[in-house]
Amino acid sequence: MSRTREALLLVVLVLAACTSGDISGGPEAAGPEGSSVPMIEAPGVEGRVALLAPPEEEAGEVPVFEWEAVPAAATYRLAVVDEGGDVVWAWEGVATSVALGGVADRPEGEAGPVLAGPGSWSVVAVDQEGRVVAVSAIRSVAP
Amino acid sequence: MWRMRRPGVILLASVSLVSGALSPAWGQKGVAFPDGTWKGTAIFTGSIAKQGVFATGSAGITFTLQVRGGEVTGGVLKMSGSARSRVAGGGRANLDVSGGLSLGGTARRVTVSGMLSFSGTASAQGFEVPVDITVPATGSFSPVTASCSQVTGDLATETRAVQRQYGFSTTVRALFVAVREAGADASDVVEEYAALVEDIHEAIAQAKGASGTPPTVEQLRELASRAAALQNAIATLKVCGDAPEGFEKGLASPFFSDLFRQLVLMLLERADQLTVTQLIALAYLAYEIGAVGTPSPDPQAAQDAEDELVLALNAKLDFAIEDGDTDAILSIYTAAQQLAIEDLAAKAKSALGGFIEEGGTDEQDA
Repeated sequence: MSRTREALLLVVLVLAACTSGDISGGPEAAGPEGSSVPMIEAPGVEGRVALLAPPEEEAGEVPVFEWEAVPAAATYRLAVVDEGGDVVWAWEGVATSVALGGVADRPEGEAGPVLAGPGSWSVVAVDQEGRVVAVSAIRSVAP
Repeated sequence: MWRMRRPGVILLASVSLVSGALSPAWGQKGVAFPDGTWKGTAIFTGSIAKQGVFATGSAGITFTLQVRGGEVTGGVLKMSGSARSRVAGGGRANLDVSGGLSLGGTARRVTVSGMLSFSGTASAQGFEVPVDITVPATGSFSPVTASCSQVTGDLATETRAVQRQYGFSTTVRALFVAVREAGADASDVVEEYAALVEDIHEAIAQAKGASGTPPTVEQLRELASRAAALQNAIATLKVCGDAPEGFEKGLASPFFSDLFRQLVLMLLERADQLTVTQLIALAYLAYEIGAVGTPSPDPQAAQDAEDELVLALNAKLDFAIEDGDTDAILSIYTAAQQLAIEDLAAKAKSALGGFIEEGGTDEQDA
């Protein structure tokens, strides 16, 4: 090993000991949903919106709804309906996740809609012209 | 003095250790610096070793951090210490390390970027050379525990992972403790609240005035987004008791839902001027802001507004059927299913006719 290379190695060791940098990897994606579940009907639309979270049980009173992005989508329409068929909350936006009521980490007692009992939720993706390009399953959710 | 302007292959390898794309793998657990101004301290210490090479160092670290709305709005990390390395065969380096790095990112994952300076000597094969280099350094760290007064963690978590990735055994640690020096500034929340209320009243007044022009759906969307952002900001401030006077219980949601309902109804009076996409957007917005729907604080007013909304959607569906606009019918159909408007869904489904297969199930979900 030449003197220069050895000296460089020594410096590199110091840098390696004292600094940090890149790590590859990322959060694990949720697994695929089951089969034969009720869907939002959209004849002629083949696109599907994969629902990722929350779990069907113990989702909490203010769950965060999350789904996979659809390439052709400009916005997403989310609706949460209770067991009696009344709309708990609905939302349209560009994000692929949103907390019930739209407020992330809403403190206990804060005003806003809550998931008081079992219900269901679904997502419809629409393109820039407002055309439906993908629909999701109608998934159960309970607090 | 040896200044490493062209550091060569080995140093380039080291730069890959200290800079590069940041991973989303860290800081996902939800522990975050609460809003406010934080002051932290840490001791960076430990060593790494690999096949005849060894390096050790220690440095004092201090940092200040300003967090607002979950985002890091400013901060600096200062590091000062020394490090030594040696390789089998007798080569050694003794370097002083110093630097001031900028902090950014989010309250959950604070990013660090800037330059670190190394100065000292390296000796190899009997020759000693002075070293004076500055290298880019990037990284990030995340809190492990957080309360409104104290946050703890380890600045070297990622460092260790990188070192291991390159085959080093490592004992490097930089446990930090940060204390909150000041709460979050809530003055802009009060100002935004006042501005939003004024803008909503102005929109209502304009719609009731001589021009009779309500805001567009997009303008209503903007007002609703501001209300949601305000509610988010107040909720965040409440966590550590920083909510401004009068907002200790959060945003008075009923107040806004009533005002927004007025605007929604004004827009529905002109529903014939809205496109199907705009009307559906208004429908979802109405539920989002509590103008309609079960969580609305005034159920009767919400029901009346919902009835108006369904009437407008029915009218739009009739036009779409007349025009043979299947995209519009489909859009109304999916919205009606999501919003549990059964009669409207049935009418749209019937209009779509043979396009719909019976059953409503799909074997390949997702």
